[in-house]
Amino acid sequence: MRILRWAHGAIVVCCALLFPLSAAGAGGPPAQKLPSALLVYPLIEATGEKDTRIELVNLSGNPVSVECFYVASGSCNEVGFMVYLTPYQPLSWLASGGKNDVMTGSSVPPFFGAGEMKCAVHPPHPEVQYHNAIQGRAIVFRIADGQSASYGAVGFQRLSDGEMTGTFSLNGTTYAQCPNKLHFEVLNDVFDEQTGAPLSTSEMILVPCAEDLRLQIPTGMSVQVLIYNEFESQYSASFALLCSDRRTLSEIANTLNRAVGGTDTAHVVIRGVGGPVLGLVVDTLRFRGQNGTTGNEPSFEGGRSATVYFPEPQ
Amino acid sequence: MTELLRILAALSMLYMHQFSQGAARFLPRRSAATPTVSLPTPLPTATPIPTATFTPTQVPTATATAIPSATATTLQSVSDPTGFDVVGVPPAQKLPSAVLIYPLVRVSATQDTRVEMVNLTGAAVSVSCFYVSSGTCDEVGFFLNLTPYQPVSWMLSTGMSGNNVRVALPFYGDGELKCVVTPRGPFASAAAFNALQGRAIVSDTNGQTVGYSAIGFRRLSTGTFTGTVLLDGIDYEQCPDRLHFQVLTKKSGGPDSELVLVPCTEDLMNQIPSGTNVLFAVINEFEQQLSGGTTLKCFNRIRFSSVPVFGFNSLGTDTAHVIVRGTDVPVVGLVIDRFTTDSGAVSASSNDPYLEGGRSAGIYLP
Repeated sequence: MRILRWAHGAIVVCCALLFPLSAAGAGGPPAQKLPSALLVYPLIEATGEKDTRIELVNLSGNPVSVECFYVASGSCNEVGFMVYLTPYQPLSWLASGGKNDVMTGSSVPPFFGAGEMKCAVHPPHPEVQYHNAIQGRAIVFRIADGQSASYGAVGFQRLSDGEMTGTFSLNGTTYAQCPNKLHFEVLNDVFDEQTGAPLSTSEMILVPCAEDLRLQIPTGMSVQVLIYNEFESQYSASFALLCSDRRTLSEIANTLNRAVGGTDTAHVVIRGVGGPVLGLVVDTLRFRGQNGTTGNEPSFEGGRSATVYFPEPQ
Repeated sequence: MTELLRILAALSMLYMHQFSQGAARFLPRRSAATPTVSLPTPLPTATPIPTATFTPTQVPTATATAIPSATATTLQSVSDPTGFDVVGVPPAQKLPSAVLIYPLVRVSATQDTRVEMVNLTGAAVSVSCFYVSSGTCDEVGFFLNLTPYQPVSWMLSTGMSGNNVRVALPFYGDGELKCVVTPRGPFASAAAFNALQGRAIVSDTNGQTVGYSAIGFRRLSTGTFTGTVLLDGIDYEQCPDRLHFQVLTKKSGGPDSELVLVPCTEDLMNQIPSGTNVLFAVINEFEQQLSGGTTLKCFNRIRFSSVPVFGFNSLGTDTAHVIVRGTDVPVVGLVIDRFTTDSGAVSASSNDPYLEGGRSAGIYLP
């Protein structure tokens, strides 16, 4: 019996040593800030008032081809393009202007309106290190006063060797899984006590992790919201999402109004019911009578599988 | 005139020669996809287009032309720009963590910082935090207790009080904040350590607001908290060996961006400030590589205008890929990007780095 117990202990210790908490482990959220194979930019905006600087960088010593798609938030329609990056090359463009690089063949169409962008590496070889090469970020800014929200694109690493087929199985085996839950710490909306006019309101932008760009089938689902204030009071809410959603915090639940919730900040947990979601919050905060904006990226909890379909490479 | 024509002819010959030699690495390795799915996807032509016929005057059309490579070529892998091989594993971000580093907290007459921290677990956690001042490298510490899932935030200039008890201290000046989960009792599981996430928002009266996420390190093994936080890949995740930033280059007359760096290693117990040289490898959009360097002692805030290699005049492109590596100890940090919009307004935003490789470091708490 003692030997059995010892053997059991030894197996547990061996497993712990062999499989420590790993960024690339199956069944977990995607580790961020690492060279990735698939990037999701949840918010791209180019209107008369706002524009977005999109940045993409090759973190590897090899040239990479990257296929990207803008997905418009209203129509859920997509438009795709190819970008070619030389070793370690950084590239950026304004969404409203696009980019045309005759030397590398990169040609980015301009984008108008609001939406998301997804980019994936076309690796020249099937080994996993050729997939995980890129990172990106975006700065959404208001042209008139320069108020901006910057964020890092959500990255998914390739976990196993293989060709890029256009089907991204975010299942923890082929690619890292989508996060099961998003955790935001947000600043509650503030309204004027006398008039009820909004003084500072933050916005939450959500997009589905799964997307079928091949057949143009928009992903829809309901989203559950769990809210904790600083007193540990707990509230819930839910709403529907179709290919993207954008709303102020107090439109999600009135407890995210500071006068109702009672605290400056809240812990908001987001979970898509029909599938995992990604997103960010554009925080608006008041400092000495003036509003400022900043991007607020979520922390991740758990992993859930999803699939992104790109039109198949030729 | 003849001389000028001769020079032009020589230059064009050199250019064509360069292009025929080097164009293959710029060309796509596969057929380009059609921009929209509503259009039929063009099939690659059976006859490959010889790369020599590709001319610089070619204007790309909406339908991308397939330019298959005639023969499979070996990848041209470029050597590491820093000259050091990448080893180790960087800390995974956006996950519940045991150690948080806020590289920049700032309070002045015109600026203040809101520090945010959230308990992502269903258990109460105790947290030990230390502000480290930039100038003196002195530290001041305090303790926080977070109930399950509790979010907390405070303005740095005022600190935070609860039930008439001072919880978080106020802070003035520039510096960093390090926070560590301190589970009670021996042999706490890694899950008992990995509970926190945090961010900070630096506001300015000129409207420039910079919000960034704290860099998190997860506990990897069961153990007793002793005050010695070994970021060695065994007890806790390693520090990143190098940081990759994609930055907007400094244009003459334009606003100045900043690079903020702090050392990963810190001896708060003996108040021994960490110092290191910091190397920069800078790659522009034309793949040209430049280098630079600076020194760091417990905190460094580097204006782009003070580093020529970050300037548009040196680099010639709007953006640059900056690789930062501390030589003696690993460093963490962020960039504050500033640029001018078409209306002339200045926009400021945070730029968190991508992390590569891992190197061991230690944080020693009193």
